Amino acid sequence: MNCSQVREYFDEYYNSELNSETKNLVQQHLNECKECSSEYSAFLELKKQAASLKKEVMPPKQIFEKIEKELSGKNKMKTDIKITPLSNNILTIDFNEEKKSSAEQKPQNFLGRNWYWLATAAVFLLIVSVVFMNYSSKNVFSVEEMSNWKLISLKGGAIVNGVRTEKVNVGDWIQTDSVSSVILKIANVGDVSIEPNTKVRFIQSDNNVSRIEVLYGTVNTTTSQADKFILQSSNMKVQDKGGSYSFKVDDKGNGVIYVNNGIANVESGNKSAVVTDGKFCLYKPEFGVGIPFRKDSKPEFQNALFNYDFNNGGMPSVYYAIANAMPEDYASLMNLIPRVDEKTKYLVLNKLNRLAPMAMPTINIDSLDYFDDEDIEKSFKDMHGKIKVELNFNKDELAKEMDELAKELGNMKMKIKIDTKKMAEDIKKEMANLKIELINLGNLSDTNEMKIYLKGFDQEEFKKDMEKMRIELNENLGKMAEELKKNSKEWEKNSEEWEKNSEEWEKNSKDWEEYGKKWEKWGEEFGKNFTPGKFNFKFDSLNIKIEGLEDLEQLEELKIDTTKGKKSLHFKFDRDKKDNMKKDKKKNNEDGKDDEEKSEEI
Amino acid sequence: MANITENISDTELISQCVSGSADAFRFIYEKFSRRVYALALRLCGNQDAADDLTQEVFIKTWEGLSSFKGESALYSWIHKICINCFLMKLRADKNYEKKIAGSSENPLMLAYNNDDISLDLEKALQKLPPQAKLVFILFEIEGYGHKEISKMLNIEEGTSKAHLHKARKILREELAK
Repeated sequence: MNCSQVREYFDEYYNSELNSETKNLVQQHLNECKECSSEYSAFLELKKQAASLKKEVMPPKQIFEKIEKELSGKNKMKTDIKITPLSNNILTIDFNEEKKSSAEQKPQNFLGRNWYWLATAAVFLLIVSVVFMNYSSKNVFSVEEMSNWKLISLKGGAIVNGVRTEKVNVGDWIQTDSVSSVILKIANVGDVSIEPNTKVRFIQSDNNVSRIEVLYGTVNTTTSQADKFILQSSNMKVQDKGGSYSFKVDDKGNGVIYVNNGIANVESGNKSAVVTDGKFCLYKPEFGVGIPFRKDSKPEFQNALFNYDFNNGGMPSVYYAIANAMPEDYASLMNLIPRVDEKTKYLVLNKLNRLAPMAMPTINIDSLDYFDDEDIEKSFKDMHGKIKVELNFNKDELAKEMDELAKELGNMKMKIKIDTKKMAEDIKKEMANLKIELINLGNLSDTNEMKIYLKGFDQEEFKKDMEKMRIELNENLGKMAEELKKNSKEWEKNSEEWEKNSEEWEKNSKDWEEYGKKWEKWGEEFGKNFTPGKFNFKFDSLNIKIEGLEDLEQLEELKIDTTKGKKSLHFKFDRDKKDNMKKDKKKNNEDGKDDEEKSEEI
Repeated sequence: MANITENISDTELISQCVSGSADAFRFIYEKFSRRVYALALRLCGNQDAADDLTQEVFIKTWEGLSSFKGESALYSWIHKICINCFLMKLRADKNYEKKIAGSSENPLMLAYNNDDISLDLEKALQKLPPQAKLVFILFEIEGYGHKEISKMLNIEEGTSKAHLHKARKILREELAK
């Protein structure tokens, strides 16, 4: 028994769960191996500390008050949740069940205890009971509404279990021909489009996750929620993290995935990849999932990854890929980290730092050994919006790309042939950048046999450099944030002024509107009383309002000018006369009755 | 209150709760809230999120008591509600991870003396990635096996073991600092 096997058994050994033979082997190894013995001591120490952690903490009083308040508004014991035993010890809770009566929630026998699962199965049978309507006449059918899954349309013909039929049951294969397609709507999750020449099987959903198995063909998905939909073929599965992606698998099980937006986790056996928007990911049953890549990356980069993933390219292919990586390849590089040895992890990280420094703060260098899919996904989420290279395919272009990739995967050949000389030069150049000495490049004539030996890489120094760069980056980010804050204050101030100005403009515009209306009215009146060619005005009915001219008494001169082909009216009036009149009027008012008599005379 | 609750069996309390007794429910709360709160603080890392989680757990407990069959101990059942509620929050809210970022001043940390070695472990726990932290808490502190954890978290048993291994490794590194 070797060290790693023994360490795997620590928990079982500690809990006395091993059979006597294995127990003795572990015991013997621990007696003989100092490293494992010390590892086991550390294991025991951590267990001891964990056992001594506090098991109880007094909650604040307000919590119960809030609970009481919340419950006082509800009907007593009328629950909208269902708690069902999954096994003897595990419970699952579905909070979305509709409210059931108390009697329904008190099942007494086996059937009752398991009603939920039986009901789920029944619902599922209903879900996949497809009814073809007007199939022959319109070549399109609608399907009866189902509680969770709903087939909304099918164009062309569909074959279920080898025959054309109107019903589909759980586990049945559905086959589309060259002109048919099915759109499956999954409630609160999204749409799955089953394209022509595809064969799929609806698999019963569990734990609110819907599954579809694809034997061959193309399926496009668009989902709004993460972890609610799984697409699988015989050896792999695609866990949807929300977004849209296309999945194509040929009759030999070779697969191509393209993520249009969002994230999809692809798993097969011991390999997995986190595929983000704009990336393709290939899968071959005997090799597993490849590293995601962009179709517009350098052909050498794509080729190197292809050789690494599916052609036993080994480390030379990884170095060749690193040497040819571009900034937009950061996602591919991150996916490489969990798959390569310790030294190469740092090489990838170094390249990543040069190409996409914004990615660095999302990676914990200290636990690089444990950098896995979960960490990649988290990094992508943290970086969301910071690094994004747009890549848009229309549907036909995408279908063509996927067809070509599937073909290349089937033939095991990429379009670009390896130029071993160029490869060696590229790797040498890359290593020079990394300050690493290349001891031996091995046999250059055959890529797969080329061996690379490196020396001169100081991991601790590298870590320090990284930390320094990370601090610098954070400082820069801080400065940027401060500047933004400062700018935003100025913007705020400006916007206040703009607001103030706009209020004034609004007020002015109302005045202008009023003036406009007045002029319009005047124009109308003027038009009525104006006979073109005769210059005949009827002043008694002409209503002219001019600011400052309130009384005809003020009017001293009125002239019609028709010189130079223009027709205009000239007014001359005395503003002061108006003020004098006002004064006179005021004076008259103050004089009482006598004034009235005077005004009558006026 | 604690003495009274200890003298009444869980079955009796449940029966009274199902009949609508708010007092019986208060006894259940008094009996189990401290353990639930400690778990919530450890899972969430900060007090606000732990308060919300504890509140939600006991509301779900009240609402679900009528369907409780007594196949497991009442505390085990409430405890599983707590973990399920936490997982649902984690899955439903993409920002929940940020909301539950650990704080060194939550009531769990304050329950230790400054020189207590367990305080270091509590702090180190909050530095673990969410899945690794969850698996470590369930396995090492709450006593579940990998089989149960894998079903609870909907992951493979091997993945549960890998998370535990990762958690132990990081914790040891953190504690060695």
